Amino acid sequence: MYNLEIILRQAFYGLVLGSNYVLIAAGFSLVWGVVGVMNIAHGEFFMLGAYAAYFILTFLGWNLFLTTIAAMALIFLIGVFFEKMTIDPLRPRKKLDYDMGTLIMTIGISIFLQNLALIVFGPKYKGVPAYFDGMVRLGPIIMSYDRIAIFLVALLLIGILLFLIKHTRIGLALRAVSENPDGAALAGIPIGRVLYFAFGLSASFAGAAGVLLIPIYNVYPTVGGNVILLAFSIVIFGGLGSVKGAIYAGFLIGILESLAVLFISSAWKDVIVFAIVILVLTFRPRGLMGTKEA
Amino acid sequence: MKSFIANLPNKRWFALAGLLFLLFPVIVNDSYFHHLFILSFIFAIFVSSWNILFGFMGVFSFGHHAFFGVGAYVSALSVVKLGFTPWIGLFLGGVAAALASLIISWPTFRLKGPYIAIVTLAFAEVLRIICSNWVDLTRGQLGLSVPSIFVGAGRIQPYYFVFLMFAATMIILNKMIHSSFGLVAISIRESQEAAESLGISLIGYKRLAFILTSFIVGVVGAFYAHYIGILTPDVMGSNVMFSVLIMGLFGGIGTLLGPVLGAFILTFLAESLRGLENYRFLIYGLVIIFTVLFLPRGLAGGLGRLRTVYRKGG
Repeated sequence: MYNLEIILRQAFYGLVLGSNYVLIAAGFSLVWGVVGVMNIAHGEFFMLGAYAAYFILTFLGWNLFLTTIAAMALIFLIGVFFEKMTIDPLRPRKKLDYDMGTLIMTIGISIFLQNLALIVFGPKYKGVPAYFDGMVRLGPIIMSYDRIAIFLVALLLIGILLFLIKHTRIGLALRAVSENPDGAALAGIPIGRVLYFAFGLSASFAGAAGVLLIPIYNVYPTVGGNVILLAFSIVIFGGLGSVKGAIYAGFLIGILESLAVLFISSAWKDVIVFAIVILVLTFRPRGLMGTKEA
Repeated sequence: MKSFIANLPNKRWFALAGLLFLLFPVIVNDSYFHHLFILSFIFAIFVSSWNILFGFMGVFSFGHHAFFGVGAYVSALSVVKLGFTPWIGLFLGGVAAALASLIISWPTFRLKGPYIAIVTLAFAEVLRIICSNWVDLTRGQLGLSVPSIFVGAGRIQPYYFVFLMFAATMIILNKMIHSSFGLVAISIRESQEAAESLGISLIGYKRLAFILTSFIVGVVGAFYAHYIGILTPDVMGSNVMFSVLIMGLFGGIGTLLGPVLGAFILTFLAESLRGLENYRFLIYGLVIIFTVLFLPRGLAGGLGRLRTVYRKGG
């Protein structure tokens, strides 16, 4: 039953999922490093992106690329809005108050957004048909064009993110603030705007993953909850503050998860993920490739 | 408002409040209100204990609901399956919760802030999933029927019992806060490194705080199980933790009065919002957001300085 074809197919599926997990985790890691906030509401940006995609696709009928761009722009603005309204005011506080306050604040935002979505959109799962129809055979595996497209767009976005961080001025600013906010401020970097950008960018990438994954996951108000759990695990696995680590870990966990589904029931899957998170944090507080101490 | 509460001459007001609580069921005959007060007391005990760890010591324990659930299930199961009396059950529940806390707290000693939150939350979720899936033992989502502690129906007996537990807890916690333990806790919160450099055993005190608070929460969780009569894994769900969080935050962490205020106000608020179903959680979210923004010290003005604890009696 577990022949090569099924395993390869699941592995590819794992790549598809993994590439999107990377988008989600990288955003989470970015905010964690640059803004110093563990954004519990990150999953809700994914959810909002998926809902945006649902409405655009159902009522405007745009294609995959336009939908992704539009949703990313929208979620970017929403992200900036939340940063400005809820995180920014907390910045003058002492470290403990800031940590406590932002953590709890993002929990509040998460609860608020989930229930707002529940009221506005209703509890039923909403789905869209696949972006593309048809399958193609590559060697021993049959893959759908849909999933190939999702995978490629996700890779493209990852590439854009890496380019942004490594080769642009804003990327330099992000890295500077991440390493030493005070030093960056002294060097004349406009911290406030960098934080807005970091948050918006993080949110938009999570939203993009929402757009890409909606044909697979469908969307419902609490979908963010599962997402945030995965984001945690990946970021911790790959190491805090390390976007490269998030990339490795994202793909790894995507593949592991897809293969594991063949062997264990999904109820216990979460337990395993949690257990791994706990173990990693216990024995390697830095995460596997972390640069920042836990 | 803040200074009004902080400046109340304590002993007389507490005695008065105690008297009012004692007389309450006599004055008010409505069983529904008795129920609300019982729930409020349960949460007041829960939040106050959790507050020792979070508000006073600064340990981001976001998995405390696990202890509540463990206490509930262990007590329920020991009565239902092993035939113990509920009184023993309560005790066993507390012990089980304390043991669980030994396991859960161990990874947290090397971690900081939000990471402790993740680990404790993850542990709680693992326990909840196990509870939910181990249907043979716990009946999972189907619900476990739990016999009451008291003979006969009615809410009067549970009311006085939980009030006693509440009073005992408050007295114990008050003593703890005003002892050297309280000072150590606050110093750990303000600066772990400085505390350690003064020779304080961080692990020792954190472990102690975990064990004590989890025992109390375990016992009250057990009480909850026997009071409500039916137990599902939701009792260990993150919703419970978020409720505790809101109550503590709104009431004022870092004080003794805050969690009690928060527990009562939010229990009553939740009941009055019951008709609004989904809007209820929406409002919770807003309450959190506004409290963090505008009332970071809660109603009772928590996180006070050392001086405040000692001069104004918590």
